[in-house]
Amino acid sequence: MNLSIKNRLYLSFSVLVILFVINGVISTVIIKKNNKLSGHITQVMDPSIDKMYDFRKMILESKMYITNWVFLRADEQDRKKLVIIQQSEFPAFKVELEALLSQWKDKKNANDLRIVMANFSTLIEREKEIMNSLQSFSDYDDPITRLSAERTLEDEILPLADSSLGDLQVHLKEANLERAQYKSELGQSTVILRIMIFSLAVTILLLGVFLAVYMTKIITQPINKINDTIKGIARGIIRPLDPQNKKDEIGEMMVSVNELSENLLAKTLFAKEIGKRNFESRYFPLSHEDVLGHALLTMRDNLRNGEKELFKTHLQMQTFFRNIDEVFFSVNTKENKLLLISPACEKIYGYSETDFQENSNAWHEAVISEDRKNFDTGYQVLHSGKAFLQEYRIQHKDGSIRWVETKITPSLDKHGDLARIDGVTVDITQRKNAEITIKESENKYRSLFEKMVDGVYKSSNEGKFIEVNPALVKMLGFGSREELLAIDIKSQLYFEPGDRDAAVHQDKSDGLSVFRLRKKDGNEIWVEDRGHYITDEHGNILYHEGILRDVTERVKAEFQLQKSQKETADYRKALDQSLIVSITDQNGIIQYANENFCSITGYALDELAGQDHRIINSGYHSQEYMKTLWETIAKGNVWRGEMKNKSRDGTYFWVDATVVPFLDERGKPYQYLAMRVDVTERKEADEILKANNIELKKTNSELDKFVYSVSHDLRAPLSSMLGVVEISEEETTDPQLLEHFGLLKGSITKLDGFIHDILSYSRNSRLEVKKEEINFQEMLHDISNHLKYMSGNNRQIELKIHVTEGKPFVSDKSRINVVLNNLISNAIRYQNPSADHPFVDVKIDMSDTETDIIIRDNGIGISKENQQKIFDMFYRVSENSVGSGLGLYLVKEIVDKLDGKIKIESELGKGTSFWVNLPNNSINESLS
Amino acid sequence: MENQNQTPRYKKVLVIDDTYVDRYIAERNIKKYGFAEEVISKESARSALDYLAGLADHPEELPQLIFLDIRMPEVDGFGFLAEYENLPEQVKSNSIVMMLSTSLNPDDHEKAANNKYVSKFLNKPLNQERLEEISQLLSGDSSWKKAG
Repeated sequence: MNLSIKNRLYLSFSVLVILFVINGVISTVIIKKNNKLSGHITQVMDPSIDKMYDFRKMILESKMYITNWVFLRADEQDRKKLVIIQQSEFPAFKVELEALLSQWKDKKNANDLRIVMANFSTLIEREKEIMNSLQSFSDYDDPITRLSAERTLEDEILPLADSSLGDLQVHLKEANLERAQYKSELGQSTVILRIMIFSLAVTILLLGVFLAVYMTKIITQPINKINDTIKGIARGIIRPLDPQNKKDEIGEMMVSVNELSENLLAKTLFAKEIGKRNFESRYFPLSHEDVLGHALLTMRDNLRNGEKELFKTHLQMQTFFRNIDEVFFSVNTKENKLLLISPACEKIYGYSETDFQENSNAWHEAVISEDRKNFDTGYQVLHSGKAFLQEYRIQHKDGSIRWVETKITPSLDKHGDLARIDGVTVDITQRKNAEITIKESENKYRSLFEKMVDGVYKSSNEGKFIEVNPALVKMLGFGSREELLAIDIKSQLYFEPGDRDAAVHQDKSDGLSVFRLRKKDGNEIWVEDRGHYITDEHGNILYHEGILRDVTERVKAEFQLQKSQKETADYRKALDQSLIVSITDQNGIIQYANENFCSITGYALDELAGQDHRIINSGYHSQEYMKTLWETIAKGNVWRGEMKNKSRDGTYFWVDATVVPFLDERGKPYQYLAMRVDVTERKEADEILKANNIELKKTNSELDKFVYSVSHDLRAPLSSMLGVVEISEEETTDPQLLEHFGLLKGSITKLDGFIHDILSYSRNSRLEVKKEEINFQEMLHDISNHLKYMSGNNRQIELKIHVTEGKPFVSDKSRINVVLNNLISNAIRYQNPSADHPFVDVKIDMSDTETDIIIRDNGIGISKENQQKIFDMFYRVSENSVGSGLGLYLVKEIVDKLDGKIKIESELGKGTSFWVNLPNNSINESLS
Repeated sequence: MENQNQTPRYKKVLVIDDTYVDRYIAERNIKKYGFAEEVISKESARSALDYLAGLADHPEELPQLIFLDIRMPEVDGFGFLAEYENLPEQVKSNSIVMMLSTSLNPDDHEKAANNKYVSKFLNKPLNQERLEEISQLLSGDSSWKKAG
């Protein structure tokens, strides 16, 4: 067999395919034939036979009905059925059967059957003849016709029917036989088909099994051999295959594998030489693509160079070893022999290599006694093969203590005993000292952290505390640090959970923020957070840390302050609306002025700011007035007063000003608030009034002077005249002359009285009411003294005086004097000549609030109609009256001026009573 | 009239008045009712003051009473009083000053009442009634003389 494996596989599969095709063709032919046969049976033979049976039935029925037609004249049913057979059933049947017959294979049989059908058609023609002759009952009654019909029936129709039936039976038999024959044919071919399929299946199976076994044998075994060889190569075992001299692919493959083995062997040998540092050995690459070969050559060259480099490095390492600060050492523990120690030992320990060589325990002895126990304990782990790493103190040769760190790696022998140790010792004194310093400072800070009043925290980005100090726990009202660490900051500490998110997202920068938190008990606390975010190198937040300070009091105070500031602003607004407001510093420099101020002064605000307040000084007020103002407010007191100011255009305006100093904590004014109301109009009116008053006073006083001068100048000659008359009276006893002197004296007295009254009237109308205590006793005494001399020709009259003293009575002395004088003098003047005992009864009744004066006489009296007129100006009762006619008018005027009342009761010929009621002005005084 | 023939009460009185009639009435009544032995009349305050000053060395010659008018040209009654104050003490201590006027001006009355040298304000004319009044005042009551 010299076919290749590929061709052998092709051949085997071709055989199998051919067998499949043959089998398929045969099966198809047989199945096709069977189908045709079974179709003929079911579609032609079976319906044909059924039709033949139907035909037989039809002939029989026809025969029966026509017989009945002839002999049973009355059966209409049968007649109808016969007509149906003749006219519809048979023609239809004939067509259907003819269609089948055309498919019959036995054409002779088919033609025979057609003859039967033709005979039946003839039969039907005969029947129709009979039927036509025997239409009605009368036809039956015709014996000829009937006989003819019966003869036709018996001689022609019935025999024909019977022969047709017999033929049909024969054909039917033949058809059945034919069908049976077809069916048996069909059964035979089906059996053949089964046999064929079975035999093919068996053939394919056998062929498959054979091929599998064969292929396995010829392919797998050699491949396994090659596989083993290649595996060997992979493991580095190179051994050539026994070529079996095959000419197929496997044979070729074996040859290739052997070549590979040889090449590998060559490379291996080359590599071995390189390994032996035989860098001069040679190798020739197999081809350009021999990557490994080239690589080996490159490697050889590199190694050759590396060797040189390594030597150099070794020298460098030596130097390094001698110079490093760390001490390397190796000890053979079994013999307790120091194998190696680096020269740095002298730096760290102060002992030289030689010292250590001589005393192999020196490094152990250097450990200070406090640390030695711990050191020994740690050293024991080396026996179990674990590394030793410890920080401890040693004593330097110079006596100083140093911190060192030693790491020792043990090597155990095969029995598990410690054979050797290799280690390194580093001087860590500086680091250690730094650590101690750090630790001390950390302790300090820890103490600060624990004890400080402010809360210190470290919190995660997710909203949990990582660390808190006791102050924070207390501040937030929690029981313990653990309790606070457990809470969710966002939902439990914040009133508005969104606040924290906002804070985290917006404020990644460090800074100071004030916000409110919920304490454990639910109360709010305001805190000031001085915190910052700690981020990694990508800027992601790792955690947040900061200091929280309880600023609740401050925040509340601020709220209060804001509220009061708003109130202040409101007040100020209200002030600005209604008043002229300015604020100056302690030197009177304007710092603020409101709109009213600007509008009344005519200055713009920016013109005023920084200006001395004296810019609106009018210069009207005395220096002393201004000095008082400044002294008052500088002492911190409020000054209030009116002031005349000057506006920008030079016009003046008056204000009612209140200046309030604002005091600093030492009580010194630092600014002044001036509030003013524009009173210019009132002030101008006042000024005019004042001027008018002054003018009036001047006029008054001039008038006064004039009145007194006039009265004096009038009375002076009168008194001179009186004096001369009196002297002359003494000179004579001539009754005529004396009477004339008397008349002269009367006229002089009357004129003098008139001047008195005029003067009193003038005084009453001009002078203000005075307030002085009235002593009625004294006043009445003076009056009576005075009146004594005026009685003149009248008779002496009794003056009764009765004063009821009360509280001191305060009123206008001179006016009351005029009142009493007038009333009493009238009573004397108008006494009744016919009365036996003329008198004037003066009764004064003083109470706390008022005084009643009653002056009663038994004089001539006044008639009712005259009582209305006595208080009129210049009214005189009779021609004989000596008065001026001003007296009672003056009394009434004075009483009115003193807010008093006056009444008169009088009867002609009997007497007169005047009642005067005056208020006590001391009451008003004490009330006010 | 009943005092007409009595021994004069005062040795010397001074009347200061610019009006002749009034000086005449005063002199006549004083003499007639024996009020004083001697009446010196001066028609101006100035001449009265000169007179008084001239008598400083002769106190026994000084008037015991001075009747002083208010309304006078040049130096009036109160002007006289102002200068009277400057006169030597022995001049002043010898004399009693009485105002004699028809003035109804309360200011004049008040000024007179407030002047320590003025003892009384009298209404003109200086007739018998006034003189009696003065006599009663000066004899009946010894406290008339003001302190000082």
